Amino acid sequence: MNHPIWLIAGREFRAYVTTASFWVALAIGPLFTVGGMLAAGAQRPAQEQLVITAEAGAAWEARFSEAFPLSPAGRARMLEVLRGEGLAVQAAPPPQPRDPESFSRFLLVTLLWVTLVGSLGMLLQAVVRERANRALETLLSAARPLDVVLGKVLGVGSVSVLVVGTWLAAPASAALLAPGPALGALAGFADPLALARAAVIYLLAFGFYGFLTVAAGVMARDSADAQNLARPMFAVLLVAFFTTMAAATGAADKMSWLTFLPPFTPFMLLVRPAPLAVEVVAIAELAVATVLAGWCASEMLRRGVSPPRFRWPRLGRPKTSVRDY
Amino acid sequence: MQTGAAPDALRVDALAKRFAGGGGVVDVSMRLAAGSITGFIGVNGAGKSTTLRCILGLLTPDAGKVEMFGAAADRDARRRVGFLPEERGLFPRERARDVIAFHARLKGLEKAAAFHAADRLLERIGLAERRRARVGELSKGNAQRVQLLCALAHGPDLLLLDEPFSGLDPIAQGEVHSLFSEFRAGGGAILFSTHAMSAAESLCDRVVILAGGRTVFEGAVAEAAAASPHGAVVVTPDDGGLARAVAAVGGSLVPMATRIGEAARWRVTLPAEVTHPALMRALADQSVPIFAFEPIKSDLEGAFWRLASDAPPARAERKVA
Repeated sequence: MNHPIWLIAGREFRAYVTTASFWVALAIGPLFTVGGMLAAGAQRPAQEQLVITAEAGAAWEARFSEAFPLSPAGRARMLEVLRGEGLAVQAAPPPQPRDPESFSRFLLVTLLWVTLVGSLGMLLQAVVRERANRALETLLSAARPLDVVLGKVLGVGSVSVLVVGTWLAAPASAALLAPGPALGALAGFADPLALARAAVIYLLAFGFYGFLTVAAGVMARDSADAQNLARPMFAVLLVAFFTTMAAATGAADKMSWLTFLPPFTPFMLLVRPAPLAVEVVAIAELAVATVLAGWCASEMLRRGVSPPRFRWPRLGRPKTSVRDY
Repeated sequence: MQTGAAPDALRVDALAKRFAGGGGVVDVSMRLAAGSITGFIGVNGAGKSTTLRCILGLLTPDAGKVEMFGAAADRDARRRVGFLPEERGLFPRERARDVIAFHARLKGLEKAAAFHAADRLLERIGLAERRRARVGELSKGNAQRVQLLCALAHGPDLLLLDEPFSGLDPIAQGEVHSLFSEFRAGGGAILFSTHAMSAAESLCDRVVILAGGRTVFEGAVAEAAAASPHGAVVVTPDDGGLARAVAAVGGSLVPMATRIGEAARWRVTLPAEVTHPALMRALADQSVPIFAFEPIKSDLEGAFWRLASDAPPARAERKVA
């Protein structure tokens, strides 16, 4: 555990978990997940209804729901009465079966997005702070740039794992303590293979976006610079989230190509399982993109790349300023 | 400086590093023997920090060679180096003891040894009772001393320090002087950049003077001081009288500033054998009215001024039309 990667990761981890605000935020998360799970998992009480419909001026139709408060004998008697009035009567159709894993998938995508947005902000600050006060130089005099990049991503990533773990452990505990509707909502987490798949996608997603964040932080001179440089990435994250939500609500076929676009890949894979071949190719592509992003961040740290400077074009007669002297 | 079998702790040959926006260094060379302290002196922007970063591998030189402990400067060699950057940056939330141990472990020390070294150094510098304090709670001077200990904790053989005395009070400076002397006595080599000539003069065995991105002097402090001519700054309204008096003692004369009223300020350089009283006698002989007379001793500061002003610029300065 004396490797620079672990040492830097440990320091980043401690920098966040030793603050009171972190534990307050950590405690709030499970309240949302348990609440959401209960809301999604709770079965609606069967409605007590008798549906009578008229078909375009022709015959009438009546349907009972299962929960209609009459005994079979009472229903039969009622039907007789209705038929006597010349109505076509039939039983209510069975309720549409729910997809038990849809909530789990939605929860995973939301958690990924929330933890990415939160953790990447922390990562950005961690890099910018040390870049601005030149503490990075001290680190780089003792460790390779790649060690520093990996250490920072791993450290903040561990904080993210702690957050996600807590947020998932809370509803899982609730499901164990109160089986029934809650357990149904968590059906997607019951399969260890599915969990392992989600974990791989999570790791790759965090690595990909984490390395891009470090690269943005390395280019920045201060926090304002960093936020400007990271803004396009956060915009992509936002678009990815809403695109994924759209895909989950039925437009998946038209958007399936986004699965192969690395910024979208983790979200698309989590929200809608794809055929095995597609999954393998998409995950491999995301892995390659993650490695490339890591290499870029490391090289930028080594070279100390500065952000491109933009100068407004001068119109008219050139003016002199104090800086010219 | 290589003596017997002991290799130089550091050897830099014809180092060059230019930046796209201008600046950098064009030809820096130096040697540091084990068990020596070398001052690295230059005006702001001369390239001291750039040189230190190139030595540490934080910047890739365009040309030149850096050797440490008799071999090419690689990752293993650089683990034997302690570095204090110019701009101090520590995690304000970290405790003093933890931050020192962290840096020692980064350089390869085991956990127990790292904390032991941190405790020993904090004790040594008088901060033992503040070992549990967070860096953000320490005064600027104490935080700086903690950062210096970060560079020392892993027991390096070479220390590269960028302005180690800035922000320290005289007592703290004295402690650091004593730490450096101990380090040298233990066979370690130190290269530190500074603007404090008195510190360099009292502490250093050798100095490297950088001007215009080049090494313009490398050698013993006494050697540098001897190379500096002595003289005086004289303020007088009688330019002609001053010129005659200076010529009479074999000296030379350079105006230092534009005239203020009727008087002008001159820098007089004297031959080594001509004393200040001799110059004053010559001035009296010529009846030159003296508004101010400030002797310039033959010392490091004098040498620095002469060498820095003689050096060609690293790049052409922008001319204002």
